[in-house]
Amino acid sequence: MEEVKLLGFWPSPYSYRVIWALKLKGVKYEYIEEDLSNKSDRLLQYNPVHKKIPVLVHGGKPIAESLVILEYVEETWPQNPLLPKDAYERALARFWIKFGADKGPIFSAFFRSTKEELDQNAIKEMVEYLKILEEQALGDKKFFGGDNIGLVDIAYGWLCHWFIGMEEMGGVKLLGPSTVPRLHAWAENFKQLPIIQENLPDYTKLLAHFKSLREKNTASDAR
Amino acid sequence: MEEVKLLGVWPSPYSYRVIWALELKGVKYEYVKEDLANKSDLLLRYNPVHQKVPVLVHNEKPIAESTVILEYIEETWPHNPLLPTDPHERAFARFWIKFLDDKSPTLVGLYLTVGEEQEKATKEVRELLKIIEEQGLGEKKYFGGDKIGLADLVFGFIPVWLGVLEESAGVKVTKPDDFPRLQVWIENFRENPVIKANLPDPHQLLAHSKQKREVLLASKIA
Repeated sequence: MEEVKLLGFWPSPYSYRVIWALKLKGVKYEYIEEDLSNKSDRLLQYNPVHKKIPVLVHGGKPIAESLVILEYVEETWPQNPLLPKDAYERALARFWIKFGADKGPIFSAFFRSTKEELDQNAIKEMVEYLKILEEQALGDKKFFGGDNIGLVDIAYGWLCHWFIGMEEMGGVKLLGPSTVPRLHAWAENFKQLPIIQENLPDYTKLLAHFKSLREKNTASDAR
Repeated sequence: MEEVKLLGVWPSPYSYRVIWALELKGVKYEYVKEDLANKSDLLLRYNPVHQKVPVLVHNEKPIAESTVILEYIEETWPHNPLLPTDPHERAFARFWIKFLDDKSPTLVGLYLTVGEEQEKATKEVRELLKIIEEQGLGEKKYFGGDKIGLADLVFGFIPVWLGVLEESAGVKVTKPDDFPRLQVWIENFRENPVIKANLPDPHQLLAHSKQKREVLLASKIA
């Protein structure tokens, strides 16, 4: 049996995507916490190009980039499949995963801004994004993957915990029953799944971490 | 009878990735020229979310996003495989495909800037090419290994479009002795019969890029 290691960082939603996929497939792995402010030789060796987490190491061979890792996990451990069998359905799943990845900057901008600065345009963009997800990606399904969760749900899993924290810091409520009722229901359902519930960072600690990141950003911007 | 259509635009590297994949697999398709300044109802119907090309339409089912289309083509027409069989090697190919797409602002930056900004952009592109050559290509003949694969089709941007961007922007990123392994890969890529037979006209591409640059720079100053 080949050894599986996961290099991660506790507040990172990207780490959790891989944790969820491995747990859903019952893959045994060793989790290694990386200190991103003081990167280990091990991290630099396993991900020389980006020097980021998560990195999956299987039988000594590293794979970086969470979405690439998810495809690898799906192919290597085919039990409890997280992508549809049909090629067209798989393409749709990949399309929506990419949609989320490409829209990242909208949320980084939101995260960086203070309550005063909070740009009405930025809010409008985020609501639009959530509506597209709800209407076109989720539709009437319980999960993006259908009756059961799949890679698309895993990719958007950050919305049900990390985004809630960001909303609290920004003093806004965008992912709610009045704006996007079906997506809100999805978030509730996703979070209540035992595998997800048992594998989330502590919310209070996460918020404290967000606050310290914001302070660091503001301090460096002020220089 | 299977019907395959490809909606694309001639100057786009993203459209060409899909053309090359279909041609390498000998898949018959109908190419539909789109005009992005005047988007067709067909395009708006087939790609409502982004309204962009390329879009592959297979038996009336549309797929958008070039990398998603490439994976679909690989799965649907598995002959002449364009991804390795080994999962770790497949992950490697996907990593590098993502790398190039994530770095496209840097590559295009060299073309969209002037003066000091352009000097900085040129330096960044050189650094990128170094990483691509040393870590992506390494000692392999192709990014995919012994044979041309999906990663090579994505890196096809370098042999076909990078030189055009350099010329329209009046910069030269590489000297003749730079990146020797990448140069060899570029030659092998261009010599592939399928690629050679499916390239945009270089003169038209240059004229188009120059014109586009003027428009983009003018709108930046405004």
